[in-house]
Amino acid sequence: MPRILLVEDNELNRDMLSRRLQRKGYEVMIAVDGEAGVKIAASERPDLILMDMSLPVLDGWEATRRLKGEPNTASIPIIALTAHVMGGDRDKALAAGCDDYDSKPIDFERLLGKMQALLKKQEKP
Amino acid sequence: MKDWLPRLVARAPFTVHTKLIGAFFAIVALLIIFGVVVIQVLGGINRRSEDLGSLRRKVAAFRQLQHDTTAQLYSVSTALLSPEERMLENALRQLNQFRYDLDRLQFVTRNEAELFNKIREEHEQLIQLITTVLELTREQAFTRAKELRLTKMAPLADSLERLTNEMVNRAEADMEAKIDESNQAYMTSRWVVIGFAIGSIGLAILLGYAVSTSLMGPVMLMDNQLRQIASGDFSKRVDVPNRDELGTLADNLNRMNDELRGLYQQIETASRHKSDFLASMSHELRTPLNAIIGYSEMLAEEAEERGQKSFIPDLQKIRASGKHLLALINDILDLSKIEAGKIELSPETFNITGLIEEVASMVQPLIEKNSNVLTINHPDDLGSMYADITKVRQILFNLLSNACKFTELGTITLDAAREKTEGFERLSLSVRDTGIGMTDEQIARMFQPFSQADIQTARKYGGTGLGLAITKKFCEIMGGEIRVASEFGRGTIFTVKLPLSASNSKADTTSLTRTGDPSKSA
Amino acid sequence: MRNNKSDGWSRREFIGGLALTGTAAILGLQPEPGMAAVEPPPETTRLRIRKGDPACWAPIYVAEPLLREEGFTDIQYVSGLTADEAKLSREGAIDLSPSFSAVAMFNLEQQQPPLKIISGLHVGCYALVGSERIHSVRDLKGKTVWAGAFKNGGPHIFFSTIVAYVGLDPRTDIQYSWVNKDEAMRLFREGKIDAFISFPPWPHELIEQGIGHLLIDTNIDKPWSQYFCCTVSGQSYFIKKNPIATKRALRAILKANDIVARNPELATRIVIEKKVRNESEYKSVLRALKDIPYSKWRAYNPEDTVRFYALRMRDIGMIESNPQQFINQHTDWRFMNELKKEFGITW
Repeated sequence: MPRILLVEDNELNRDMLSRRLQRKGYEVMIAVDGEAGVKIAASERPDLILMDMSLPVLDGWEATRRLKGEPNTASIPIIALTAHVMGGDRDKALAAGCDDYDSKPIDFERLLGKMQALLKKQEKP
Repeated sequence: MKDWLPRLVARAPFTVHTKLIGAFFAIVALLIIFGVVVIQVLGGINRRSEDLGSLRRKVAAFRQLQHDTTAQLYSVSTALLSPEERMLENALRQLNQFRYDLDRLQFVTRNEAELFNKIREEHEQLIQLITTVLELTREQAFTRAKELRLTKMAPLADSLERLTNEMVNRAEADMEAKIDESNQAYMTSRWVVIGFAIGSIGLAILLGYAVSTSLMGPVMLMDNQLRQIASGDFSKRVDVPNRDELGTLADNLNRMNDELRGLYQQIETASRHKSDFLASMSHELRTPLNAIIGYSEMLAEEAEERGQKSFIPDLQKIRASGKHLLALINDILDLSKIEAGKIELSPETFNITGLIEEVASMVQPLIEKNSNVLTINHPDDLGSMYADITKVRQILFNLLSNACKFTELGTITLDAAREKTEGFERLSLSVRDTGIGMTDEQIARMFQPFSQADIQTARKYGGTGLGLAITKKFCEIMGGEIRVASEFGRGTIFTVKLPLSASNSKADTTSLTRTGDPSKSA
Repeated sequence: MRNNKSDGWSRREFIGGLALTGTAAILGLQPEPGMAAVEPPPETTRLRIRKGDPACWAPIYVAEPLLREEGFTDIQYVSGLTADEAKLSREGAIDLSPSFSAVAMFNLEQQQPPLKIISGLHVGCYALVGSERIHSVRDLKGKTVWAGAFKNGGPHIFFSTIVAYVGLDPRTDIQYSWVNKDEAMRLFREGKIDAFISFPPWPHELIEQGIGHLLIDTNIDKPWSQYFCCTVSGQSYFIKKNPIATKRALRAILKANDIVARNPELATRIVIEKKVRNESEYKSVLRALKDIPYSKWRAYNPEDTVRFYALRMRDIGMIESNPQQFINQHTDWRFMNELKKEFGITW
């Protein structure tokens, strides 16, 4: 059972996504801000991180950079969830180190596909 | 160099009307003075001509007198030679005739009485002498007569001749003097005329230049300023020295400029506020909307799992409404961004064929919904283009989804090709459908957001009613064009042409020019 | 130019007792008693008169004792050709200058010397003698003429007016011979020159010798006989500074006209004595002085002479001013006007 860390500050989004993911058989961990996300990622070492970009305390880009900077967490794939899908944001996310990105509103099926693709990659070292 | 004169005229605190009238009057005055001078000169010449005439008459009279004096003397000599009564009578009668010459002389010298009196006096003396000599001859006192003739009459006649000679010489000298005066006057008047002509021309040119420059200069400046204002540049002011109506006009123009600048800035600020507002609002709107869409999806899934299928249709309706609302919000945001000029192009190089296939698959459900068939025609080497892929995708999706919506059991054909016109390459995308088509009226209102027909169509066929407006704007921003041709009841064809290589500049949709007839070009 | 300073007539010459007062008595010219007391003496006692070839200028030489009577003690006759008149007057070397009126006027216009015509001198003198072939002035077209030894002298100017008057161009229609007088007379005798114009005594010499005939005799022929031939000009500064001297000098010269008229032999003597002409020319000079009507001078108006010649010369383009302009600029009749009354002049 893959363990997913969801870093999302909006309660509704958080609730929706975590419940749907759980139903699909994922174990879901929650972080409500960037700093918590980094901490939990470091301590729990999930298989995949879903990172909302606009977060309080520490924004998603910075959190991603930190996580990718730590050897402990660098290998964990991160999917950026961004409300804006303009070229700039995408590049920004990739530059920060995200492995993939998806746009809000979340197309659940599409997201699942991306998650599975990244998780599969993880399995093959 | 000659700037000070127009400035002076401009600064004069008289109305333009007054200035023009003044300039014309100045020229008229010059002409009048000129005319007066010419008339005076001509008058002088005329006077002198008249004087010459009277001098001529005088000379003639004197000469006549001299001639007749000589004739008189001749008669006396003849009478002495052959002292017949007949001769004597003739000679005496001739004296009377002689007086006729003196009378004539009196007439022509009527302004010089003193001179004439002298001449008459002397001639009377001669007449007396001649009479005496003739009488003596008659009385046969020849010796006495001859002596008198020799000692008195001949010298007197001689002296008279000199006197009349002098009169003639004086008259001739007067004539010469008058002729010289006339020549002088001619020379002078010639220079006067030339001087005045040059002066008038010069003054006319100067006045014309001064007045016209003082009037036209400001007009040109103001015209320039208006043109700048029309193109949105409120930065400059018009500065004219005029203190007439043109000055007032310039002041008003400046005031208008400032007002417009103020308004423009207000509009800009308002627009910025609106965009900021919309941007933040859209985010606020989207968030709960996402929840609606998400939760309804989730509930549908759970219902599916728990086998409570009866909830699913309602939940799907909720989801669909949410999605529709989201689409509307996105479109409104796009349109407002376009209107505010805040659209940014983010061009990238992408494979055209790949995009086409992506959009085709996106639109597949819509195609199947109305039992349509989608045909795609494109050459193998469609290659790639450098443009904002999101917008191209949006354009293509919009056209195809529209075609699907308005066609049932029909064919939708997408033709894509590269073409080269006037030196640069373009991508041509055309979407043809065999659907309901459009009337001319509908075509005319095609690209305007929220036109009446569009709303009804939107209600009936779905969609936001904003798609084509956005599509058209996106085409424009990217430097392309969109055309439509349609026949009501038979079908429609939309053609979009986009440059294959976009220029990487921020699009400016703040142009105040209106769009033309959309059926011809976009 | 030689300055001919004179001590007055040599008494030796005039045994007949033609002393000043005696002459005056013969002529009936009494110095009016008290006259000298009324009119002030001349401002200067020196008088310099130009002297020239023409014998007809006799009055200016005959006037010498009369000038002494007027109060001049230093009377000089300055030799000078008409051509040098302008130069002499500019240098102030002459006070009075006689010349043929037309040439005086021509020079005044051309050279603008400081001279003003102040009176007439005598009437008539020039004569144009033509060879047998020549019968009228027009016949002179294309012929050779002696009109003096140099251009623009009196004879030349006068001749120009005569021929121009009848339509000939004095410059192109006449061939001039500029030899000296003797040479010219010889050539005329030989028939190589067709016409000879001059002031006395030479034309009269030719006539005496029986060569040629008088085409024009200005003593008799009109219009020239109606006007002064020669005039007297005064140097501008002299007459301005010495009006009384000028008037007195003029009086003397005009009176001398009467003396010449009454006693041409005396006048001829004086002309030769003054070395104006030499002894051999006595006869022709005497004839000339007899022919010239010196006594008529009172009846002629010098201003009209100037006017007449001005008109004629302007007609043929020899002067440009109109007569009135010329009179205004170059004449001064004040002295004549003052003398008119005492001479009984009525014009």
